[in-house]
Amino acid sequence: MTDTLVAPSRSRFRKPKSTMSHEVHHQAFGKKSRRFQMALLVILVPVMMVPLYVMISAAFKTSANADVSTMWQLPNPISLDGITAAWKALSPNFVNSFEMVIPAVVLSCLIGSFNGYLLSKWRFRYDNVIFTLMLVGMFIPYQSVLIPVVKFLQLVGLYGTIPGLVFTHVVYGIPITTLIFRNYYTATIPTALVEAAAIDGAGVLRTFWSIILPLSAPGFVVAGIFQFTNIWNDFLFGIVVIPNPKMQPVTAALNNLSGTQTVDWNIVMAGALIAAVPTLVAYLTLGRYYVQGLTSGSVK
Amino acid sequence: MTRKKRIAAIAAVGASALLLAACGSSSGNSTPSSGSSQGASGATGSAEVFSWWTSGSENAALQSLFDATKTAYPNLTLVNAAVAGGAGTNAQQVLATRLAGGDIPETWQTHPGGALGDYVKQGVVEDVTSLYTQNGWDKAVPKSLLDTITYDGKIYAVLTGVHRGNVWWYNKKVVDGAGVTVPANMTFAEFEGIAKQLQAKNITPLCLGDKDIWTAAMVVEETIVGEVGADGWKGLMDGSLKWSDPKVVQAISDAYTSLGWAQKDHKSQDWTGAVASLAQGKCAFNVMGDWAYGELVVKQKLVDGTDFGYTFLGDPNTFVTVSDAFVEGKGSKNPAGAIAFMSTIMDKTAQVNFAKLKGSSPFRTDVDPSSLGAYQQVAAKTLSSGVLVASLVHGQALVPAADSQAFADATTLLEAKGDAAAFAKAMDTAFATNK
Amino acid sequence: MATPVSELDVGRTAAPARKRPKPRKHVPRGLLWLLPSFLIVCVFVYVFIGYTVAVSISSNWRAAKPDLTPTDPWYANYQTLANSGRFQADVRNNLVFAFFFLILAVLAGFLFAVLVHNALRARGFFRSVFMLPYALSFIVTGVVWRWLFNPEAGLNLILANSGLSAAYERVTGSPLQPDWTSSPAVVGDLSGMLNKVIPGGDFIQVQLGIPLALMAVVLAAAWQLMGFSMAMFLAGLSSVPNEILEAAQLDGATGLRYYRSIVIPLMKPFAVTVVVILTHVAFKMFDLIYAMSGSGIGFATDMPGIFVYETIYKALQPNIGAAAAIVMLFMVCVVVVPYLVRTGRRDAHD
Repeated sequence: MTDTLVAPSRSRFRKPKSTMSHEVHHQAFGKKSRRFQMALLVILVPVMMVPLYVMISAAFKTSANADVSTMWQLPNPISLDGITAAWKALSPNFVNSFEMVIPAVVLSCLIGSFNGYLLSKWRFRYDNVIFTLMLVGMFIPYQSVLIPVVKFLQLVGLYGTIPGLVFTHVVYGIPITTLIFRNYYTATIPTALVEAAAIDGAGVLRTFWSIILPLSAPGFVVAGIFQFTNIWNDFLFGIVVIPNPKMQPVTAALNNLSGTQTVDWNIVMAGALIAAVPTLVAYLTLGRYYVQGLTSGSVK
Repeated sequence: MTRKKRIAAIAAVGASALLLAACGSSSGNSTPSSGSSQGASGATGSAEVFSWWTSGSENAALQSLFDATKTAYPNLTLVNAAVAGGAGTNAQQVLATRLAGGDIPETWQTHPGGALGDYVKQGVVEDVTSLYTQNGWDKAVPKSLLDTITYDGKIYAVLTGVHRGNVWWYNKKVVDGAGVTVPANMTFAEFEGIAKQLQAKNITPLCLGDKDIWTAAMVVEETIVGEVGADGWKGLMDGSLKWSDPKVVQAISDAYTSLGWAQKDHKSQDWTGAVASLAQGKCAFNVMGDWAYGELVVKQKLVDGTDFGYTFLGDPNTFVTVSDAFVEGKGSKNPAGAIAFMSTIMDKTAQVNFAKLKGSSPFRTDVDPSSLGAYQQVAAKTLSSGVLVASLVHGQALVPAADSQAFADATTLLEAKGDAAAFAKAMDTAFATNK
Repeated sequence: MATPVSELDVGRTAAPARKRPKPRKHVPRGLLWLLPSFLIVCVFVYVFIGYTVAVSISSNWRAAKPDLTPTDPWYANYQTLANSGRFQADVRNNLVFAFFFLILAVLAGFLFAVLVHNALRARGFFRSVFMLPYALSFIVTGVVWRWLFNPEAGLNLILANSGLSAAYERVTGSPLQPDWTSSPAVVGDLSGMLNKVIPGGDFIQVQLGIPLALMAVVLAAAWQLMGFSMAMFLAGLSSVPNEILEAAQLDGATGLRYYRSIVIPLMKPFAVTVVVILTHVAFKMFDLIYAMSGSGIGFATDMPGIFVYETIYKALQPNIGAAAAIVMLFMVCVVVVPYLVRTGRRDAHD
């Protein structure tokens, strides 16, 4: 990749005013182009929100009104039936989901970042083969591995427990988090940096801890977003690993809102919105860390 | 630090992270049943009831069973382990892992016929013939229904109630407004005539909601039953009548014609949407089991006889059965709890209360149906005096479940291509290969 | 092949003499630290896949009665699959869906990432709004899209009421009221050609073209997943060092050229990641489609995931379902492995 960080001093040119990455990108465009981009953004918002409008308006309708034939109409009257019923059905399981997601995301992202760092900076013979092997296996439909997974968890005594579910998600999250970080580090962390650390006597772990991790923020944002969404919205492992409905994650409760007979769409839609809130909060929190690392200037 | 020590440190950190997660969460138990196995009358402890009845009227009906069990067995706690979705397929998914792993629920919901037969073959359900003989249930239920839960002379389940699959519901106001008379039962030719009259008045003859193909498959199945009769259908199920018999192919072709009368958005609607369309008068007829009755009366608030009516294709005494069964798991922690629940299901009062909430006919024909609604009384009467055939679409027939799936897949292709002969050929192949 | 020199084993030659002399053959440090993850994946993925393969060639395996006696011939279940019109449709659908979905999700994600990243104001707001779909449960968005795709009451109603449909009619003669997921049309049909190439090729029972109903599904899936694609490209755009960008600008690259020659090449590793992950999502797509359109008219929107689910848990044929799962895995390997090996090899030469 690129080692062009050792840029010659450009003091004879007028330097751009700021060093925030988006501002740098921004300056590549003229005013007219920038206005056009903004207009495009503003137009895209309602377009993308069309399905959400249907969902939100259905969530606030009465059961009789929440139907496909009235999907475009605003709620009239506005009803909180959906929200209250959904909250009542979902809230007991929220705690389970949190207890499962947070350790699972943290662990799988940490492991993934460490693996990604190894695969991108501590190359070895056939490492590409090993990486491909790690990655390709996860394409198997999980329906076919359910029974062996359950048997294994029973063997180690983790069946029916939240740590068992955490363990399952961490294991099946390793390939993708490794992929995310490996490509991220290949793209953004120059090998020279690690070489320099090695020359200073730092080993694998030490380099990881003091050099790589601080530069990994955007990588953790992406991996965190992916894993949080994936694990929070997981349904299959949630119902299979934990058979006790009281301990199941929120997705199981959400699924149970629609039975095979009469479905109250206002409750289902409200439930989906409620269930999405933690994920959205996660996006908001993680989004703050879309900050460029401290690469610039750290290589002499 | 030496490398070995570093590795150990990392391992310790990783392990303690997992441990923290474990300690932080409430101590999870896999299943809560811890029951003792005394006689059913003194059943104690807890028992798990595994079903897919999670909402609406189904859930209410299940709760009535729970309440009745609580009254009869005060020391028994029932745990409701329900998983919705896929008309039981999700539940089947969870159940398979539990059966494989040896974590057997006390009792679970299934269908008589292929699904039950599969459990019997796997050896995971108990023989409950003694319950029937001890309590005299075997004399209180229709024999042909009993046959669908009997394997090798042994009975393996109890039924909560029996729905009728072959009903042609129609919107009375729409039909009367078009000046069309609907007989109490009709031949296909008559139905076709009615459809043409409706189309002449710009009314869509058929309400169909086949985003889930089983609704279209029901149209095919009930048309076949209506045209070849109960004996013909039984012949098809036991292999004595081939699907490629001209009578059957004609019926398939007629069913395809019916499907062509459906409203434009049928592929985006599920069955409740189709019933809603019927209620709103957007289309005239809907072929559906009598679980639609509850939908029409309770959700759509229509009045039986004024707003909607029903008729049958072919012999009105041919009753296509769709029922739900509960079994006793073999190797569960509290078999007495399972027996308690199953006994409650067969209790006369519980049967009637369940029927009221679910809209089905009681399994026991010796109960008093006078407290049930008008339609249900008629259905219960037909159940006890009519000819019963098992639905293939809902996996009730004594054939492998794969045959039901083949029927659904064949319907998908029939809808797209209209080739009745290909449908028949696919079904003959399926019945021949799946054993 | 010469032993690739790991630049990072620099420590071995340049380290101070306090290190003990190394034995001739050493296990590379990268491999050592990677082993635990690799071994776990091997067990949870490959051992379990092995078990699935065993089930897929069995004749009578059941969950509570794991009988692994193979069929006769051993490939009988795979033969059943190959002759199943439904599975043929599924393979076609999987490939068509993955292709169009990837294009749309990656391009849309990149476009949105650029727009959001360059915005000077309310970046957080725009970012959250576009990521919102990704946070929702597939089961419920599937229902919403099923409503939207209703040919009478959904998007078509908006098209009609807004005058767009009428305007379209004036131009083309027919109103803009697409069938969306109800469309039975299959565009392009290669089965005729295939018959000529493959001997006995008329075992293909479905039209080998692009089912239009599936395109509607692509739209719904891309709507939901482009939030992730955008998140990835945002990370990419934020982490390219400023010096490179500024240097390029000072060299005169502006506007589209700036993107084409500078930014997009730098996004390649991020694009690779997105493509692999979204391929993974595409091949496993189940909940969304199941709730939206089921298997569709003539299996136009059926996917292998749905097939596996129904075959194992509805038709109660776990051996055939397992065979389908293996075929799916094989399909993915054929596509993804060469791609990974190629992009991986290129990195090794950097």
